[in-house]
Amino acid sequence: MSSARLLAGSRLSLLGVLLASSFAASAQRADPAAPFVGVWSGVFTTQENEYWTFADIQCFVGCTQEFYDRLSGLLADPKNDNTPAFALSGQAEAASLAALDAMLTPLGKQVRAANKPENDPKFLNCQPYGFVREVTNPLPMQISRDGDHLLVRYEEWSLLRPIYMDGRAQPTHTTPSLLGHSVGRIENGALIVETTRVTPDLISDSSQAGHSGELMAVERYTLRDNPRRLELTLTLTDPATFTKPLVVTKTWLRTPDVELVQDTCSQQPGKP
Amino acid sequence: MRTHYRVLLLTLALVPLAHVAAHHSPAMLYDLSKEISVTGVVTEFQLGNPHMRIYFDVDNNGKTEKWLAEGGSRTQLMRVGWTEDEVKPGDKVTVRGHPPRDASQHLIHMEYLTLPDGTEQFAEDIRYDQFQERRRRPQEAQP
Repeated sequence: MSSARLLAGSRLSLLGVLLASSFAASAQRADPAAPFVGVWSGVFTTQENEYWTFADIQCFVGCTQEFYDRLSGLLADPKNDNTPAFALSGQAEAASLAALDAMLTPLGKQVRAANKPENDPKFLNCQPYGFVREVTNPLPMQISRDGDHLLVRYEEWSLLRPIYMDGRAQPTHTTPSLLGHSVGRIENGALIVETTRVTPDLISDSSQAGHSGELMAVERYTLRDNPRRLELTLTLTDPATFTKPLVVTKTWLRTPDVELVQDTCSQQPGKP
Repeated sequence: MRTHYRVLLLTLALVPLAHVAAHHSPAMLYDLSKEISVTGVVTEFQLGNPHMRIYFDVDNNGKTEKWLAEGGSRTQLMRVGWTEDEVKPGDKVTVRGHPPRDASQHLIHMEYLTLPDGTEQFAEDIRYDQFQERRRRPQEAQP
């Protein structure tokens, strides 16, 4: 082979590499949701990670923004340096539960009083619980691309949740379901997901508060720290049960090495 | 009087289940500053979601007490090797963990389980005692 041909061949190879890189970069630019794709873990599968603060850990199953901010404030105050962190957590919990109680409508208070987990057939029969607790559950989740849309696979109950990203409107006649109907978009680098048509359920186990079928949920996922940390601000609007929107928060870390475990619990009705 | 007793029994029977419903921070329900160890015979084992449960009978000077131990999450325990046959009815086990804040309940937040062969294994999702002294304030991202 002549040196001229070798030179031409190597130039072609170089061109191919450059084109491939260019296409990959274009694809990355074309998909603003790409940074959210991957496996994300809460405290359970990353407990040794020094990144977590005590407030993050106490919020491992999601918590109200009120609780997180209050606890973070108590922990940041040097006057509390000699007070056990769990004691400060107790103070924050009591205050945030009182704040939640104050924002419940009469129906919200009825719902809260009626929620008796010991009587919950879903719990006793190993059936998945509802939207808010699923979205803030402490086990890992995997976000992947599904054509034009995103697909969230939760290890908790092995549930799959599509998030439609093509600009479609929320349906008005879809039968309500456990996880509802979700449409999403990328806005200034944040993943915004709006969910409606959710069947009534608890919002958390610690509060026993619940929402009605009129719930409008907006999840705002933001990435921080290159982008290692995924933060959720979940705003729950339900005039039937809350006098004002309730804001819940939770954080995950990117964990490409974590594999999701198949949860077969719900395949054993009557045997939790 | 008998009716009252039945109501009391029913109430006591229901209270523990309220604690084990779905995920929650054990600090809210248990006294993490104390540790107890309880030995008994398993009557039922559920590697359930959200929490694993062991129901067991404890001999208290000839009187049988019904206890419930609440451990970690189903898939998190499966991740580290637990199976649905980890414990069987009739097994004599020792549960080590935290007592409930209401000391009248026969309930324990299980951190460690000693099997009939003497093997002790971790039975929770996370080691809560390690977090007491964790960072209180955010810092810059780790490298």
